[in-house]
Amino acid sequence: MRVSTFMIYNMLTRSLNSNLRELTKYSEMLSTGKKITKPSDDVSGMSKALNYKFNLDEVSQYMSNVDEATSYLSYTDTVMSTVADGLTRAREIAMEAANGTLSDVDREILAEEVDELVNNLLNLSNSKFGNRYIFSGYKTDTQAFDSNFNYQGNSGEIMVMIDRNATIAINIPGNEAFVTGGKTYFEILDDLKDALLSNDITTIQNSITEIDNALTQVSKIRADVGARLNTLENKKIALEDREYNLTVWLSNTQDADIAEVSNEIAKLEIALQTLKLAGAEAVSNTLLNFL
Amino acid sequence: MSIFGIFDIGRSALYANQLALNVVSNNIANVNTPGYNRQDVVMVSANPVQIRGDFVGRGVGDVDVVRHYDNFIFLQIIGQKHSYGLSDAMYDALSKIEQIFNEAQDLGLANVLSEYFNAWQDVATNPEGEAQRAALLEKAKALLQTAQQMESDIVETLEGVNDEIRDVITNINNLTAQIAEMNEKIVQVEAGLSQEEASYLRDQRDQLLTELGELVDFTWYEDSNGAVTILVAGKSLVNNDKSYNLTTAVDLEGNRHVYYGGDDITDFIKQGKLGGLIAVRSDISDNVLFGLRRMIASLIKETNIIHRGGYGLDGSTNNNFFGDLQIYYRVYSQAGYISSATITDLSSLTLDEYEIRFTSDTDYEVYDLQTGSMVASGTYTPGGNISFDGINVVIDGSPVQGDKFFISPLTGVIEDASVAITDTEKIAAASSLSDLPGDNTNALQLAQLSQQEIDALGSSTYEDYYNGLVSTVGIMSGSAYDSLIYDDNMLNELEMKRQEISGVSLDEEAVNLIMYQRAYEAAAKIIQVADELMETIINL
Repeated sequence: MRVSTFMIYNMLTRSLNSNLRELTKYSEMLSTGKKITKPSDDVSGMSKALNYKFNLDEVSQYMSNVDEATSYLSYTDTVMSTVADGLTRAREIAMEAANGTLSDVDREILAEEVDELVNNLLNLSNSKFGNRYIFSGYKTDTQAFDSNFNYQGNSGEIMVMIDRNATIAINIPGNEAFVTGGKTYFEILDDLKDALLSNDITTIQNSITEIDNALTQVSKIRADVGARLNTLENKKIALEDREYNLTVWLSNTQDADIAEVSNEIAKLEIALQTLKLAGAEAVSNTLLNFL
Repeated sequence: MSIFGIFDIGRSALYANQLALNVVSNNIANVNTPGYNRQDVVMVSANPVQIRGDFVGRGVGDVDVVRHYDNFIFLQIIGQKHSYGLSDAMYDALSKIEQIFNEAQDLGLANVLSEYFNAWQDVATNPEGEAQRAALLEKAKALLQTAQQMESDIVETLEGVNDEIRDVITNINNLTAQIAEMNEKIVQVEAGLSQEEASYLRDQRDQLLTELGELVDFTWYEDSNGAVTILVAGKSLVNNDKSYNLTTAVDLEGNRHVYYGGDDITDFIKQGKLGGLIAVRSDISDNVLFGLRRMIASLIKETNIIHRGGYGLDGSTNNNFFGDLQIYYRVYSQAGYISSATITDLSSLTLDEYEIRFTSDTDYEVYDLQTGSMVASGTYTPGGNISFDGINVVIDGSPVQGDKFFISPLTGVIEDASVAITDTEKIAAASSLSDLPGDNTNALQLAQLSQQEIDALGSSTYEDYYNGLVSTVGIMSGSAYDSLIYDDNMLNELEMKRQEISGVSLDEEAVNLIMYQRAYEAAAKIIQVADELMETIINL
């Protein structure tokens, strides 16, 4: 093979170029920390990475929804626990008055306490989380019960997405939470109050049954809320797990192995050094030097 | 044979070696000249004379300067240049497009798209929340703005491609003019000569042909006079000493076309830079731009359909969330025009593009350009309605047979896209007026749109469709890059093959220089010896 002068220079230039191109590629990986710096570097890797990112965004949104739902339901649970306390106290009062041995003054004092309990319960039924009445169904801008104990909300259940195909209701409508046997807790206690004032033993005894029913209903509601909180907690763990996996997969797909990249760069630099030395030799040594 | 014979031999030797030194010097001088083919002298000894039965030489006879040149390699180089020009132009444009969709650096639509859908979930979780509603509007605007930025970058790249087509055509015309000029000179110089070629002119013309080869694919041949004829798309650009210009004009779509005389030859140019620019232009607009527009159009359509069915906090309903889709058109008719083009039924809209074709002066047919099938036909009445797939078009005037009307819901969809809702109260999170304000079912439906498989997007979700778009861009750019590297290597291989034969080696020339110098010195010595012999005779 005949070798022209241009061929020697050309070979050197091209080798230097291809080496520098490789070096630039790895330097870019090092500076961005990513092995895929543009889609064409690895189309299927890029597509996977994009998918993981979409999933991560989705999962983090579900996690924030789960947190929101958890706060909402925890608050509901706290309210219902206070409702149970109120009802329990009312039951004690009814028990105390049921044997008919109390004096008028004592009963009046108890009636006053029951009246206070009614007010408390009514206030609790109109609890707000943020600016939303939590027991009004969809009517979150309206008090659940008015002063005449009429339910002003509806039975709307506010659903929140906690996964791609899973939603959970974050509210309990007041007509479930504060009603048993067609009667609101306020009416039950209000009847008790009247019965205390008129010393109506039969009604007082009846109200004990009704309060028991109410307590059962509150327990059911709290069990329901507890079950939902439990679902949310499990969901949160599952989502955290998924977030972790997705993060790892994303990293494996798109992140550069810094040690490996540094190693590649070191190798390329040595090759480049050698090439330069050999090149300098090849280019400067011509026959003309010896003539 | 006389002493004068020795003088003659010396003179022929001086002449031949001096010529050889000239050629060597010229080779050295042109060591870095692109396209230069090394030259060499071929010396032939002169016819001998017979003296007393023996043949005695008479020095150097013919001295030819020859060009080291392999026509076959040259043909291969031009062929490779066609494909190199193609890959180069394609990669250049596609690498720019790839940067627009560079999700590896979080450029592109992915982030704003998921943030938009997540914002709907936030509204669903807090349907009464003013902050969540305001955030949703911001996210929707960010989504549209990003799409608009991407579209304008793509359009800018396409404009760059069209500008480059114009520049390449100017270059082609310059080159063909120069080649025609070279033809004229070569024919003149070589006329009457049987062997010697006009080497330097041929080198120059070869160089011009190589440059032309990178710009456009052509067929060519050399006639017996030494002139080359060049044909592009079957049309002759160079014929003897004449060259014919390509011209260019922009169509309604903004695409630059290539004309020869009155003929549009755009579609026949397949390779070279020009072929690459033409090919990459339709790759980008048919795949990337079309895909992005269709995706945004579909998002606007589906969102508006659901949103219109819901209720805002203020009880209002039937509001568009995004600005309504519109119908865009291009008219390919002298006397016919479109007086209105509207969407009559949003949900029937396929988001395909259509063409109304006049098969006669009175009959039209409507074709769906994506499926290729005819969706409507009828008899034309001026001002009459032409309805298909949720679109109504009114054509007026006097269209004639062959006229076309291009109808699309996509052309300006991104450019004109807007968020129609300005008052957060009007965001329709609720599905029922009586369930305000806590009802979030409509917002949930809009959030779940992100998981819905959309017909117009080939039954994929928005995210999957976008992911596919990024992959398409990556594949196009990646394969253009691979071709470019391949073509570059091939071209280099061929250039090295050419160099093996035609390239100047300084070492070789140094040897030749010494060789001919020594021969020249010896020849001078011959003259001196002959002179001394003569002197000896004279002094007898």
